[in-house]
Amino acid sequence: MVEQNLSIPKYWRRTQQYYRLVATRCAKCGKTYFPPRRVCDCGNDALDPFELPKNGSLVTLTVLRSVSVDFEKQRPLLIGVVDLGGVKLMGQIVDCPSPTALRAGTPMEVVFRRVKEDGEHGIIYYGYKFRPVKGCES
Amino acid sequence: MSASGNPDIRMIYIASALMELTSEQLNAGNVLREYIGLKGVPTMRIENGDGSSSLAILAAVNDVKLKGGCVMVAGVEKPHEVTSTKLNKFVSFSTNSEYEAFFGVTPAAQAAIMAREYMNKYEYSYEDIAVWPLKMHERGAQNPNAYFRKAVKIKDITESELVADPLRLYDVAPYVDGSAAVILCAEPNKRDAVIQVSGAGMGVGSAYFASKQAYDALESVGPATKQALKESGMELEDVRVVNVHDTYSIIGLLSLEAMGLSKQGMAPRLMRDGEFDGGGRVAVNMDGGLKAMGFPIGASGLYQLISSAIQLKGEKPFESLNADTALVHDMVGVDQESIVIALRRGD
Amino acid sequence: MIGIVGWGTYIPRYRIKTTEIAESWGDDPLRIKDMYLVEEKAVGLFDEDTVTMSVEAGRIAIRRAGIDASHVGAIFVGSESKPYAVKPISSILIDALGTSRNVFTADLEFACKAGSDSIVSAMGLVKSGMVKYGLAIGTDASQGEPGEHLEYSVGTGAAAYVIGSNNVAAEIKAVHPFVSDTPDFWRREGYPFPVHGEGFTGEPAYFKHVITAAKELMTELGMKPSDFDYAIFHQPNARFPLRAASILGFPLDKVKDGIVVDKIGNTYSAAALMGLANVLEKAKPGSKILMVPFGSGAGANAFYIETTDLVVEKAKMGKTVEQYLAEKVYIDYSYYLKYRKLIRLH
Repeated sequence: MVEQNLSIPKYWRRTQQYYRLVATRCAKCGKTYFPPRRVCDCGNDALDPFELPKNGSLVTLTVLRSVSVDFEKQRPLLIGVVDLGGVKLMGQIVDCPSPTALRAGTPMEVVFRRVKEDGEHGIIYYGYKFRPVKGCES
Repeated sequence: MSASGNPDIRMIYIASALMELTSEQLNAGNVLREYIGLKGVPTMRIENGDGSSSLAILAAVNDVKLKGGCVMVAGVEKPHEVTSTKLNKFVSFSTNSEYEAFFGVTPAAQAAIMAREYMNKYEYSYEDIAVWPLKMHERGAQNPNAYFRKAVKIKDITESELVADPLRLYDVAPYVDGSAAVILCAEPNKRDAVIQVSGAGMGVGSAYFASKQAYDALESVGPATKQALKESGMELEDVRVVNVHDTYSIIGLLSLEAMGLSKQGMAPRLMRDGEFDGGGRVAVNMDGGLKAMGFPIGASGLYQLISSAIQLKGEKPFESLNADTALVHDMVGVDQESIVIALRRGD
Repeated sequence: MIGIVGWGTYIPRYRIKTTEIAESWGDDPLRIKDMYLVEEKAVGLFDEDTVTMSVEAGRIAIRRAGIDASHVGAIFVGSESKPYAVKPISSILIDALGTSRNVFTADLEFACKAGSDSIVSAMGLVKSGMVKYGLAIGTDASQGEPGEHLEYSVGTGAAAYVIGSNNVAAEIKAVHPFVSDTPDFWRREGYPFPVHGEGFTGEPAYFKHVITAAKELMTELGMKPSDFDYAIFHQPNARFPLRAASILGFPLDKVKDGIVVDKIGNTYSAAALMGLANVLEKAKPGSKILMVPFGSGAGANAFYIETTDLVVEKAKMGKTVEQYLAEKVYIDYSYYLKYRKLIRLH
């Protein structure tokens, strides 16, 4: 069989998060967590699944040029922090080859993209990324 | 062993972050034990990313406090067994891997974001931050144990390649293969210049970078520093030598602020003005830090501990330092956890 | 009444001008433009494929339908450029769109026609009462062999339609198929680039099937071109649909809104469906639409569609084709090769 370098269960287990940003929300105080948590900061351990909004705003970003081997052919990577309804996430920003116009507060949207693939024969990982709603010049 | 007078060793603590990934070796402690001829000594592996070796020291200190005798703490890393992009991947496992490394996030990207936010907030230019590598190279040039023993010009730094803007090549401590070992004993077994581990502390930060309270300050360093000082019965003002985990320039600067050695937003200025030079208020990273000494990941804490001991002992090139107290800071990933160890020179 | 309850499209942000490609290969840029009437084409980034575009288009279609994703009872995806030869796009959509798990799902392939076959399949299930809503998608991110003429027109995109019988924005009143074994264009298993019979793709394939399906449908319905407000045809380039319209007797103003290939290239399984989306986003209630998607190999489905009062309001509920066309970042040929993974990357 072809050698498999990427784990299937590790990805499959998290598809709800990678695909639809399913967070957890405290049934008592309403605080929302992504990555999901089992126990809230308030001490309550009853948390419900909660899908994060797909629109938000940019907090900050960097252009990463020295990348991990799985992303060698995607470099440079834009890595940023995006605020989705008060929950901050870190991830890739795409569709913006020259991000000089992006600022804190720039409206961002969640997009569904390929994250990486296991060579030519293996599994493809899909997941969320972000992009500026109005394009790169916004 | 020979430097410490060949005491009986009860236990070996071996620290490494990437051993199985780079060297395909599990249980390296026993291989080491046999190689150095320590019969019947049990070993324990400690792994907490680049903070591994300081945690091994903590475990060893607790052990000798409880059971007495002497133990060995060894740290080892061989990052250059693999290619650079593979190493970038392995190092990124010290993020919250499923949600950060999965998407290509690396510690360098996180440090870059901290640098950007810090520079924005306190209105620093890149040249202001570049004071860190400038000083580290200056110090490394004087240190026979340094990996980089060459002073550089500010232009070399500001024109070096971008790694993750605003961070450039000179802001990143270079990964090096390396190992270090110390012997810890409950009682001094040699009279000359014994260095005492007088206190230790730990602190934690967000496991997920984006959830941090602020991107321009470190969360894990303050609590670790306070606990180490308290255990040591010292005040911050008593500390003469500090070694911080400067994996990236910004982490070095922010560590000083989080330790309380500088007000927030002031570290680059104080650094520039010589407050952290030898003969200043407190001598910071006089060996050139990880920037000039090299960054052997899971062995880096031991590197800095040993280098601090050399500084306290006033060995070359630290003859004029004349310090008797030190704090050694180590960190896991970018602000995941910090360990601070307090050292005192015995009389 | 069975028809379109919601729709959504996806077009990548990057564009390359056909003249830029022509210059890279020493072809006369103006002749190429004139030959295909394709100004520029949409280029998916290396992280975009028929799965990612289906998710984006599907999300918008469900929003426009005004339904909860859990009410979708069937998902059919028509594509000839699946990322996996074996492993469905439709099952990924179950989890990415957050539908229930009790959904009829399949990926369909009939060259560029399969998107419309997804609609037909969903209609059947809705009409029989087996499902309340079906999601039908046409999507492609095909590759044009560098230096070969397909490269001038092959685009990237997706169009998704929620088919149901409540809150219908456009009723699908009739569908008429016409299919024969005509080997005009194909891609063998395991080979990355489609191959075609050059001129053979025209008369015996595209025109024969599109014109026959349209004529037979109109005969069946007792209608003539003047009864329709819009005509939409499969669009491998802009010349073909214009000529089909002219053969059938549709004036230019009835076909122009249904042609988007000149701005995004040929999106294969999504091509005619993309034209339909653009028409729905501009049409008044009561507009009569003829749509004829075509697939090589070869076959056509002729649809008679009529918009309802809801069409105007629904058009505003999601991103429009026109908005996508306006959002673009031009790239040169080297970026194109990198983004479409046409340089061999190890």
